[in-house]
Amino acid sequence: MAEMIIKKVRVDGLFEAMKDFEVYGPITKDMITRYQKTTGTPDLVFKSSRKPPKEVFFPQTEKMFDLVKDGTRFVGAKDVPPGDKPILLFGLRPCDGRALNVLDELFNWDYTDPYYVDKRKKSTVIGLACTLPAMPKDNCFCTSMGGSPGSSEGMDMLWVDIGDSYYVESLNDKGNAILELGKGIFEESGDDVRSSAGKAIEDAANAIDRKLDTSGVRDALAKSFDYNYWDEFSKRCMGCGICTFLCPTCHCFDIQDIVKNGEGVRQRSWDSCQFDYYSIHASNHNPRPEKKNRQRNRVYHKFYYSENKLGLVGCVGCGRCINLCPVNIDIIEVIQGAKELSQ
Amino acid sequence: MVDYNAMTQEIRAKAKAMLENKEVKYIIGWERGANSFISRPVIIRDAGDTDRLVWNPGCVDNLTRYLVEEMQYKPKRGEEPDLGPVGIIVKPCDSKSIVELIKENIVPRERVKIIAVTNIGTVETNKLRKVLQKIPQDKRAGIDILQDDNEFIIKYDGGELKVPRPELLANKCETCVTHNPVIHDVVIGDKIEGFEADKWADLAELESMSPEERWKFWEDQISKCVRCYACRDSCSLCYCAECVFDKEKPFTWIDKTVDVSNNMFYHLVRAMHLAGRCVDCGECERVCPVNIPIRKLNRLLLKSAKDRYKIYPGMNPEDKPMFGSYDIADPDEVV
Amino acid sequence: MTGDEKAKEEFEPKIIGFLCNWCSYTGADLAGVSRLQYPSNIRIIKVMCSGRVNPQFVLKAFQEGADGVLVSGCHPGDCHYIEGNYHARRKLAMLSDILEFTGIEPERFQMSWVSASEGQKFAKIVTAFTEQVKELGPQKKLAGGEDE
Repeated sequence: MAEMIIKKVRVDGLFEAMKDFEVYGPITKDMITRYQKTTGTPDLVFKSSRKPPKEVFFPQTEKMFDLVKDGTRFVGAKDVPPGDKPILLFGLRPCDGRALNVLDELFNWDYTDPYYVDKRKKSTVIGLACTLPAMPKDNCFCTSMGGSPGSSEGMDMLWVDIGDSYYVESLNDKGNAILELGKGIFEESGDDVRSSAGKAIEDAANAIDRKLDTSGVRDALAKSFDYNYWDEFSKRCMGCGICTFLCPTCHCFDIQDIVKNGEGVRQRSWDSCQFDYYSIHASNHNPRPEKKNRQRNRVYHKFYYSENKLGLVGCVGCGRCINLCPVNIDIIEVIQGAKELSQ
Repeated sequence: MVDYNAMTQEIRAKAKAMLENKEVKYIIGWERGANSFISRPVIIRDAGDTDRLVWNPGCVDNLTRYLVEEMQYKPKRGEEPDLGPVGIIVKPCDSKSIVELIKENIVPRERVKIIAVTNIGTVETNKLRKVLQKIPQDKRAGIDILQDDNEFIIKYDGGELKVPRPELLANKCETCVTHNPVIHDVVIGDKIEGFEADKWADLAELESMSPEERWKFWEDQISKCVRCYACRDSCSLCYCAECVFDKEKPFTWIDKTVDVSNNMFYHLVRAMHLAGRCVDCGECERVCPVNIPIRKLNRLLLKSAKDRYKIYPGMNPEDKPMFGSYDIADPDEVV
Repeated sequence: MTGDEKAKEEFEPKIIGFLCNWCSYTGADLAGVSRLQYPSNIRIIKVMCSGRVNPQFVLKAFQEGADGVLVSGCHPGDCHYIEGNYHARRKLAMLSDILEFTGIEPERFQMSWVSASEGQKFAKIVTAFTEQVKELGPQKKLAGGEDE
């Protein structure tokens, strides 16, 4: 593991040297940050993004293959050749990095998803630790979910803002390759730099004021499935898809064949368990007919099923669903309430 | 200065009396959000719980969508339908939704008891997030938002912050013409007078652009859309049992594809479905997670309806719905 | 002739026509049996009444790649269903307002009154409308770009 520093004024130079990559980075427009393809230097000071970075590897709408036509009938499929440019994802926040772990685990689970895995394999991920004053935001609670503002899970390289430069830690070969690429731009680091980076991360961690005690959550959820509690708090749910679409670990999708102007494609788009059409059967029976069933499913998926299936908790504590829920359904409060009830 | 505390007390007392006298099944109101700076919807069934109800400039939700839910509730097998009235607390803008729902025969008047408040304006959540940055994080818990004619006053632990009205006022309140409820059983608060008529100032900038610039603007905005359908779900007038965008039989009207073409189709159809019905309560724009100025589309149609047909929805339940009626003398500008 | 002009010259717009069963469709029929010439760019969809035309149909046509949409019904007062075309008039006037507001050329959308005996008028309207749409070029705003 190599440690270096990079002066802030020289970051532009590094991006110049990384021209061979397809660079995705945080771009802020109209107060909203998103990870988008860019040819220049992405934003270096930003709050965590509205739309999570999962869209880089798992786009909201993704073409799977073209349908092959014979006369007027579609008779087969033609794979879309994947792009051969390596991907660089810059500025990933630690919570989103941990979310990539969950997605990696899922898309390699019983079936290897070629679309996600291919993009992920040829990607290099540079994380940016959360430091004051940009982060943490309201309702960040990563420290309760096993993360930290300086967590490097899911990344190949981690940068920490230390004033006029970044402390750079390379975590594997992919990270080392970037160091190699930026030879002459990265400079030698020292112990004092490491300690000031550690200090910056600690300060950010101390500024996180929301806490969730996750001990005993699984036991509580195991007991509380049939409680009236789920009905009570989900009465105010509107049934929109904000909490799932903007969640960095949510990964449900729906596959559609689209025919337009005689050309056909099969593509997948994000879907949300909060929509009643998500679970409806062809017979018109809906196993999750009410909002309480759907809200309960979301909570259980994050804190119960995910751990059974993947061995990882499905929530990383980014706080997006709490911040953006129009009716203030607060997952911390929901979990705490379930715990209290089951005691 | 509006005395929010006194109004809250009055709301609680009225709600309590209604529940105790069994006038209503339950009350839909606002409560303090846990760890949130704005209030959130709550349903109160027990007279003892009425102390949870609050009223302040942070009560942003239009609660009438829960009223629609009640009216459309299908009893489960073996369950007796309960057609008793429900109580609801509304702001003047929300009261227009009720008028429109009565007009469209969704809510029978006798099934709702309306506790209405007069209101000079609520806060914009996005603006509030920004303003709150000025308050130290550890002191943000338990803030109180108050306002008088010129400014909002945010009281927090150990101090208060004064913010000029425009910096925090919701966009919809800037153009509001109904500061007093249009339909009610009980009114709480003093009558508010002296507000200017709507001059459609927010549309002027777009209207002065060239068509290409306008398309550029909308393309930019609409391409952000993630199609979470929050604007539809938050709307009290989007009450179709099966929404056209969900419908898959006999065919789908809209793909799940998220691109400008599909998003634009969604937003235009949504706006058209609300033409002549939208009461400009502003919920769609408030809930949007990517800040699309959705209200502008609705407002344009509101303005057109007013200019062309002298129709302004939400004022009187006796009015005819715009698309359910016609006038032989309507302007005829077609070929 | 530059490439652009040539492309414009060769561009044959796709136009969808929603015609009411009782007047406009019969009018189009009359234009046909009278052997009147009008551009073949229009694809006609018969509806029972212009009041049946939901603004959503027009938008969907645009989204599926139509370059222009024509809605035609009976003259005011002549509707087979008494009032259908009055309703259509309100709905579609609002639609053209919102098209203009979002920067989609409202010239791509037209409404007309054509009676069963107005074969001449129908041919004239279609010819003029096709010219108008041809002038505007392909509609890519709602249909999405070609590379998608």
